[in-house]
Amino acid sequence: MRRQSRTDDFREFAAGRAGHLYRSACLLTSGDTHLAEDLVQETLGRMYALWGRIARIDNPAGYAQTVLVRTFLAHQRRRSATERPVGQVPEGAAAGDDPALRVALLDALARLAPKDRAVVVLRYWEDRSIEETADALHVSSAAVRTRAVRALAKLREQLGGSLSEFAAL
Amino acid sequence: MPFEDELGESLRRTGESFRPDDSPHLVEAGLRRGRRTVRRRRTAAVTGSVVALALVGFGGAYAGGLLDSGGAGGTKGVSVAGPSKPTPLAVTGDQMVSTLKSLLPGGELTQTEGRGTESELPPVAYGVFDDGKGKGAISLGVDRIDPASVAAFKEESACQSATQDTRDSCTAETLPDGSWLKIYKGYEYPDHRAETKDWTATLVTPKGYHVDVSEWNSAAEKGAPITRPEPPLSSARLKALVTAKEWKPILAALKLSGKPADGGTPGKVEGEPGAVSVERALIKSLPLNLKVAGKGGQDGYAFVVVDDGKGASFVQINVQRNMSDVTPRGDVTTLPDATVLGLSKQAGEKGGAGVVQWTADAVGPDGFRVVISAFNSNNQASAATRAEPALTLAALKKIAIDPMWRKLK
Repeated sequence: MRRQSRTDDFREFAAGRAGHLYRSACLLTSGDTHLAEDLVQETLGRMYALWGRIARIDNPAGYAQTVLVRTFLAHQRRRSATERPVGQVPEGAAAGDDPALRVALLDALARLAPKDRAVVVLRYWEDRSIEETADALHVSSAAVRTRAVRALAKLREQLGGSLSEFAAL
Repeated sequence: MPFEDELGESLRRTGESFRPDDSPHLVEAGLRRGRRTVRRRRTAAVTGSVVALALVGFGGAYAGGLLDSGGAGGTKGVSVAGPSKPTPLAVTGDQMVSTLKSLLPGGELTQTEGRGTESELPPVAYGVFDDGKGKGAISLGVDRIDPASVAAFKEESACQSATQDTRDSCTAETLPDGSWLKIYKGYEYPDHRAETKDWTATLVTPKGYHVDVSEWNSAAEKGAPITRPEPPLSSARLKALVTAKEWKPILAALKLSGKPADGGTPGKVEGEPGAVSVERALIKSLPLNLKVAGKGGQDGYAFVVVDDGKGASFVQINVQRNMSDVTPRGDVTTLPDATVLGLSKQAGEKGGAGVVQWTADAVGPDGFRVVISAFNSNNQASAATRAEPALTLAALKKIAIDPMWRKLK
């Protein structure tokens, strides 16, 4: 009985978060939708096991995003190879989006180091502060600033003025 | 519009364009992984095992691990030389690829990519190998593990018959020179959505030299058609490859950085004390009139069941870092050293009839947190066995603010 309610409770949470986690994972993996699915499953698995431990989490949705990013980085370290080949057209495009922007941005993201990409996703997709990003990645705020500056410079170099064109659409 | 804003907008548009094919599947698959982790944890608690959490190795599911630790097991990674210094590379990507090539049996290695010490990530060689019977992707990485962590690495990477997919196979052996070798034959997708096989061999020497190879029966790890019934290298070939003496000079050229990469080790939160030390420290800090009837834990967490003669009382503690975003509940005070302490008496959260939970939660200004709870039951989920927990709030507070926790390893 009790087990069931924990599970139901968790299912409700997971169903509500899976879509957003998946979208974040797709950005982190620069469009590798298979890896993104794996990462989301792993993240949800960890959240389930955490469900009901004493250290109750005030914001499980936000914490799940943090777990996702950490899982991604751990995966990168462990697997250590096989980034998606740069320039490959990402799969699974939904109708009605902007394919040119999508391809250009994912390609630019793919050229960043995984941790720099994590910083970009947390800062500019999740809208986390420098400090929150630093906490999520277990690094100092200074390290986040350095990475953010470096990543933005690289993205600007690659995307140049194209983003403003897209943004103006 | 500033570039940052344009970037934010572009990320939003691009991110929103992704939709999971099957969202309920993601939820159910996540739930399954979570249950496996919980089962493992429960087994560990029941047997009082030192092995707090078992982790599945490279074979497919990088399943489970300490949830709030931020990473599943695997490499107790110590990254090699940082990226910033323009010193000559200790190891180049080409060197990695040519070494791999020289060690493969007859056939062709194409689409090669290599990474040397220019990256924060460990060196790796990648390619697609064809022995004439079909292409198979292969990826080999090397890194150095702190020799002090080798035992923990082996423990975490050990074969796990209980959690392993029944279609996978895993063998581990200690070689005559003391090295540990694991061969895992599994599948790329634990849910078998595609039948791509992923075979891996993991070698770690007593010095912490770590060589890891994966191969697939497909020209790419994911998303490519199966090209042959099995990956190209047999177990014996995999073993010969990872134990080849040619990796030694490369490994010797790698540096162990003084501390873990700034992301910490994946299997464990940096600075989060191990299960056994938390358990021991918890038992030591208990009032003397309490008898310990049961105990267990995992990294950063321990529990005991104590009895003062009036019935069993469950006590659990978490020792965590980077928790400055947590605000303790209940009666909150700030101590002279800026630690925020919350003392609370609440109804139990897991539904045991009449269960109460008394908690002391101390969060230091640096985010170091000790939170300890005592229950009036031997287990949070079963009915109360006594009127009050065996520890008073004052006793819990004393334990929570003990500076000893910061010194635990």
